[in-house]
Amino acid sequence: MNAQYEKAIEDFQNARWCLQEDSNIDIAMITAFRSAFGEVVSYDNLGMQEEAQQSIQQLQTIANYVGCNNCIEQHPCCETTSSANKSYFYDIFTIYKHKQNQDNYDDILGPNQPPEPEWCEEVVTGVGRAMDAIACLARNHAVKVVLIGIIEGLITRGIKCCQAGGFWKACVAPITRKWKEWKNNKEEYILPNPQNLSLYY
Amino acid sequence: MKAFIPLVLFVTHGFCTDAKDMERLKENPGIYLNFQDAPIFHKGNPLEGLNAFAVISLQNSEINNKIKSVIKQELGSLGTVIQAKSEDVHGFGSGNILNIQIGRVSKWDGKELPISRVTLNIETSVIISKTHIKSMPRIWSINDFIEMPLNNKSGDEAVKSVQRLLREFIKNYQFANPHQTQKPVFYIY
Repeated sequence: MNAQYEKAIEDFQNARWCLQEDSNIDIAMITAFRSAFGEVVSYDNLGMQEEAQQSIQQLQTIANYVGCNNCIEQHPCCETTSSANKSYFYDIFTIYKHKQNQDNYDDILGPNQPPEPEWCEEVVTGVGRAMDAIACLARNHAVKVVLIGIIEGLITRGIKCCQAGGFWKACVAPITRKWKEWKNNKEEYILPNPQNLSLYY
Repeated sequence: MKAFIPLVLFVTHGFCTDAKDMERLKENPGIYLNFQDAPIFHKGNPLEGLNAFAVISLQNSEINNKIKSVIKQELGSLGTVIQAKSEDVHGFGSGNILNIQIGRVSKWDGKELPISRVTLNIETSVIISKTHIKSMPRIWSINDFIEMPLNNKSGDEAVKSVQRLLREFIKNYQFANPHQTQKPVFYIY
């Protein structure tokens, strides 16, 4: 049975890679949703909780895009075909947003050009470490685990984007914006607990 | 006699080196009897050359503001302090994190002790030479303890404890960077 789940995960991952070639955003979104959902089920059955949490995060990201189907001007293939290393799972949502040209990442404060080669990864990892400090404020163990899972998902996503040579602000934006939300919650004394967990997703 | 002169020079040179080393060891703020106080680095001090930090101190309490005020005051005596917005990533881009945490302390059976641990960590990205794994471990750390869980009553003790740890950090940082011309920058989040 485990082997079947492992095979299924492999298929879901292949499906997501194929999204890079898909010019139809509706189909891409549906496929991305199915892949992420299938991964959650498969990882959960394999007892791989961290990976399951990462897939839940992907589902959440897809959900955030529901209702934005008509705002794509160009299909996302153009950017991914120029990617130096196609073996990386390039974050399709970042590409979509970048392509839409509706998000210029002005809210991310930093130099336009990374001052050092490691800058992008340092920012992703550093912000993740700051978020850990908020996750550690949770007294409930399950809440803490969920929050750490979310952070892990955002770090993995950010690092992959950095390594694939994405625009650094686009790569750090998801984790930085989430960090800002969490910090605002904390400053308003909305601490991570089971009652207000939805504010941390 | 000819053989005696090099022998005297060798002994004198050896003695001088030892005396110099002893003097430096005496100055080393890491040399304490209690290892809780500070890590000891004779050579390869990990604080050397770090010139910017993201400072994180997120406590689950209203005393957070008092702690932040002490952080600004103490670190301001060493370098430049910048109050950073969450979305300003300059501090994180420095790759170095100064993390102050106040946490509960558990016994072997998981039950909590009526004390809190105050910790100051320095974290930075490293590549482990044996395995070539890229990681972000604590490279320098110092602890203190206060006699009750963190709340408004124990707040003043916690603030004093944070102040003590910051002063230890500053001493150790200055020891590691004796000839530094550019002040370090601290981005407070």
